[in-house]
Amino acid sequence: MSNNTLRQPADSSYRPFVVGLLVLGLAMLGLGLLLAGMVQGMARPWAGLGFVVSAGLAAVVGASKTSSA
Amino acid sequence: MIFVIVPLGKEAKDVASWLVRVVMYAAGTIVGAALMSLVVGLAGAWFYSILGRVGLEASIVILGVAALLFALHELNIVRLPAPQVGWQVPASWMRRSRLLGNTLYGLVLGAGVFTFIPFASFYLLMALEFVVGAVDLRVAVALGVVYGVMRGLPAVLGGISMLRLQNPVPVSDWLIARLGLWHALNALVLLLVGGFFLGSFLI
Repeated sequence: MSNNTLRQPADSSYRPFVVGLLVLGLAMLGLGLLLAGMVQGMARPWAGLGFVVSAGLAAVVGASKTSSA
Repeated sequence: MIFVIVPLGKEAKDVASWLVRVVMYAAGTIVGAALMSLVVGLAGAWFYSILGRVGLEASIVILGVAALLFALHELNIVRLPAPQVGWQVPASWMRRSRLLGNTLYGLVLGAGVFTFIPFASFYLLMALEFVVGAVDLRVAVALGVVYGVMRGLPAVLGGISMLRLQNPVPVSDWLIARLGLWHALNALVLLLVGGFFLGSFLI
């Protein structure tokens, strides 16, 4: 019995998406570190930049949950 | 959920009625989220009153690590436990009064913990409100309000598109069909938050 699926070329259409996501992910991590460098001492989610970053998370979570129901 | 709130067909002509329901639903999501963040923040305030300031600073490092782990979870790289009630708001709430039903839907969905939690970033938001509540309850509630506004906003936008005689179905379908993109967006924001909290400790 032959297995044709083994001979088919692998689907590579997702690669640009994965690479883009990886680059964006590293950029976001770098941006987080950069913002942290602007804060004195430990990051404080209850003040200034910390609140802006946390509020961004809250906004994305809120909008995302609506997309699922 | 948008189409439970936004009327279709004949009902769409009764603009005043559904406008009130949309407003009450959106208000419900904001109040529900604010109340939940108040409860979580109060729990955090009580917890850190026992643990002290050192525990608070360690928690920010833990939040940073958790944010990075949740980002990997959103990207399907690691699998973390995702405890949830998974309850669905019953349609029977709409039978007696649609206005009351929509308001209750808003309150329950705004609270966020009683229904499905498809995004790991929600757990981090809860943890953030817990930690922040120890320092300033108003900020914890403000985070809840931001979440609640964004939770209720799509219903309002759906209503506006109906007012402009546009069918909101394609927009809703587009959003639901791109669930993977939403997970990727959540992962990106989690990486930003993780980098921020961990970076402030390391730098």
